Amino acid sequence: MASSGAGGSLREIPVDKIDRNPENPRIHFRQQELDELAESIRRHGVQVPISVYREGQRYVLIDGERRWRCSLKLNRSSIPAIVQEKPDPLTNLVLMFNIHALREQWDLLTIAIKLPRVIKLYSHEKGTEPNERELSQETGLSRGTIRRCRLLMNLPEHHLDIINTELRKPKASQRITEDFYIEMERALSAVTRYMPESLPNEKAKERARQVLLEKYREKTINNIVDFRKLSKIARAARVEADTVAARDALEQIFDRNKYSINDGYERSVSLAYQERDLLTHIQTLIADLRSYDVEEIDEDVTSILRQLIEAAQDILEGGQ
Amino acid sequence: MKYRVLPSQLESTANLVIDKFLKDELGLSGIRIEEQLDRAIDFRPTLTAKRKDHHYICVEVSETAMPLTIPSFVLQCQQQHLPVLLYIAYPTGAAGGDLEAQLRRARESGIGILAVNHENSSISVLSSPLSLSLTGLRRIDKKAIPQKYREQIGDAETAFRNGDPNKACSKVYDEIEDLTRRIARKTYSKAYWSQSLKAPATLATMPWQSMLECLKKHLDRKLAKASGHDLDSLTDSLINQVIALVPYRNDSAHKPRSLKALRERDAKLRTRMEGAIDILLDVISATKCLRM
Repeated sequence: MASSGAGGSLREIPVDKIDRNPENPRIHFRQQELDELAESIRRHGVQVPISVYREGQRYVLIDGERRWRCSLKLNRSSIPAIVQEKPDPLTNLVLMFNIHALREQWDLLTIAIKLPRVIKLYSHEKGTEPNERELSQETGLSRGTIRRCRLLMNLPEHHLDIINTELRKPKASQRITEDFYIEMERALSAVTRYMPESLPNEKAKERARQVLLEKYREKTINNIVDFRKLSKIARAARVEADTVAARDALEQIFDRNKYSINDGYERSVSLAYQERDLLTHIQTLIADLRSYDVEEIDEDVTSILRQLIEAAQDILEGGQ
Repeated sequence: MKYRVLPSQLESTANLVIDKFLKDELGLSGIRIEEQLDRAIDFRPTLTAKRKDHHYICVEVSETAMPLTIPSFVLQCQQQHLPVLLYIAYPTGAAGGDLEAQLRRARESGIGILAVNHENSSISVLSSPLSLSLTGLRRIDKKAIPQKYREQIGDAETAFRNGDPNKACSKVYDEIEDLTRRIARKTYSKAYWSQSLKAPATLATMPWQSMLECLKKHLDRKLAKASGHDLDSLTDSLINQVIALVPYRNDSAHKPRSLKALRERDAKLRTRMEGAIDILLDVISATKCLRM
């Protein structure tokens, strides 16, 4: 029996009369998840109605693609659905983001591929391109997620294909992930910004991408976090490290060889960063000590302080 | 090809199965994608085609060699006597979990396995399927069967599961006929019959049903008991159950002409096979004292 309200009418509709929403950015459905949901539906039925809108004699999904797919798999004749008004194109697309991206963990690539369309529809409707805050409000995505997506959106097509191929594998065997590209792109951006002569143009940047990808595949680069060290090499001047050595390290890292990011980091800027860290620690310690009242400090602390003075004296005297 | 349920990452695997296996290897056409097999079955396999002998060939394309949803599908096909030869096709290298364990479970359930290699576009058949309408045969507890009969009953069970239920039933009927004729001869020779026959030699050659009627009519359990052979369990009712098998024994096997006929045959033969084995065991047990 159908019931209706402000949010649309609830009714049982034939599973075979439903089509997937072409605006649904989700392209990969993991089979394990689908199988588990199918087993749950087999036992308990569809507990939460899907949402659809009418399109001629058929219905188009707004929310509930996995429940619909599983119902089809289970040869169910009908499914409970809330039938809503047909939304305009921007609302339709933004609904997908708001319904799905907040509730399920979408692959970042899925969102990144559809974001340009949101921007286009928004620009068309409002007459101006959305800024990051507006995009965040429209889609319900955090600004951090949008920034990460932008890094992927700007990748050349064949790199998107690589991620896509990887996403088709079971989660455990995925290696070249979105996170790999995000870390690498951030590092390459840092190099372009702080040592532009190392990557003077887009061609050099793409060549660097290819080399880094190969080095990661062959495990010369072991961890995607190593890319943060690449950024640090590019920012050598900030810690007063030898910029010539840093530039030389970058050159070797971007060349086809067995030279890793760690090698370059250790041979160029590692010491400078250690010194900076040590300096920061000492300054923080001095500031902390000065905030204490002498009477508050007990014997344990004074004993350690004496050891600190001795260690400092050894260093100072050794240096003379 | 249009898939509505299959995850997009498996579409190329399904397409390869259609072209290289179902069409090229098995010569099938009219391949249906994610369509209903039967209203009573709450599962739509990825691919379905029908063979000329009315068996369905179903292929479930999956990331694993034994997806979660398969056991209930197998059970339903068995319960509905649906003649389905089921394969699971998985892309090599993608199978998650313990592949060996999954393959073993699939084989035990009578499911065929196709390993799809995308690098050279080849398909390897790792195991062949059995008709699910026949694999539902009740498991026979071999330990409950006397050693002497184990091999024959085992052969019959194998023949049944491998797709020849008529031959399997015949093997069991042969055993029952042979046993009952020996019982008749032995009880007659030991003078446990109330009336002597004009030509006792005919016990070995007379029609099975007539021989059984004779046994039922003339077996004197008191005489047997007096000689230390307790044949009380070989009741008239049990002999009647054997007599009821005779028409089936003489049934000639015709090829089913339709899916409906095939389903009916498989359902009928499964019941007969299980019933015949039960009767054979009852007769063996009832005449244990005769050391047949």
